[in-house]
Amino acid sequence: MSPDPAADLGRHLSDLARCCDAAVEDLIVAMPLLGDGAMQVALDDCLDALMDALRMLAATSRENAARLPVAPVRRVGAVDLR
Amino acid sequence: MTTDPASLAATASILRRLSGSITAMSESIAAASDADNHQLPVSARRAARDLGAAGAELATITAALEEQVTRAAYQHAQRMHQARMLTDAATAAGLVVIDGAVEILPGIRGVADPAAVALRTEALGTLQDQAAGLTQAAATEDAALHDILGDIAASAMHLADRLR
Repeated sequence: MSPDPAADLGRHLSDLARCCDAAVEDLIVAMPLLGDGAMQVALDDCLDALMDALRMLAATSRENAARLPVAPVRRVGAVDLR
Repeated sequence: MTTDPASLAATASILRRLSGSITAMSESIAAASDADNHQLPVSARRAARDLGAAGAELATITAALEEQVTRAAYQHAQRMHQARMLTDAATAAGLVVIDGAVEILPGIRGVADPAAVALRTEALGTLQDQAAGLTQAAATEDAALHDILGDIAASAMHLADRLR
């Protein structure tokens, strides 16, 4: 068991948010071309929906990370009375 | 606008990498918010568990889109190859392919050869059938891909709305 599970979870949530943000940037730059008009629109709509979901997952991850309890700061040399 | 196989391959690569990353991170979040981990508040564990599930769902959607983008790139390459084969066969038979349709090369040949005319007419019919078959197959594939892309977009929108 980790000594600070909240910090661990916070780190994982932040990693996920960063991964989602980076993916959105990559997908915007990629701009895939699928020729025919209707197919291009379908692909663009699909990518827009995926990027929206990625942004929402990133935002929710950050919100959850911010709500996690913060471990009390222990001064160097402090005596642990537990 | 023409299909660009390189951009499709690049997009598929991004989606493949993304799907793997989100899967791994969602598993880490699910493990960190394990029910046995009593050092975390229940609300935080519940929220993290839900987020892990949403991440796993998004990874599945991403993988499905990657599969379709890869398929589109493959179908494009296959169609280019089939179109080249058709053009080669048409040229060998003294015919020409214009906008996907096989036609007799316009102009006067100067020689009336009934046997050659009969052969060309027969080749014209065969290649026209082949061209029509390719066009029909492409339309069927496109319609299927269009529907699947619509389903994937709907799943992604549904997930985004749930997270909003």
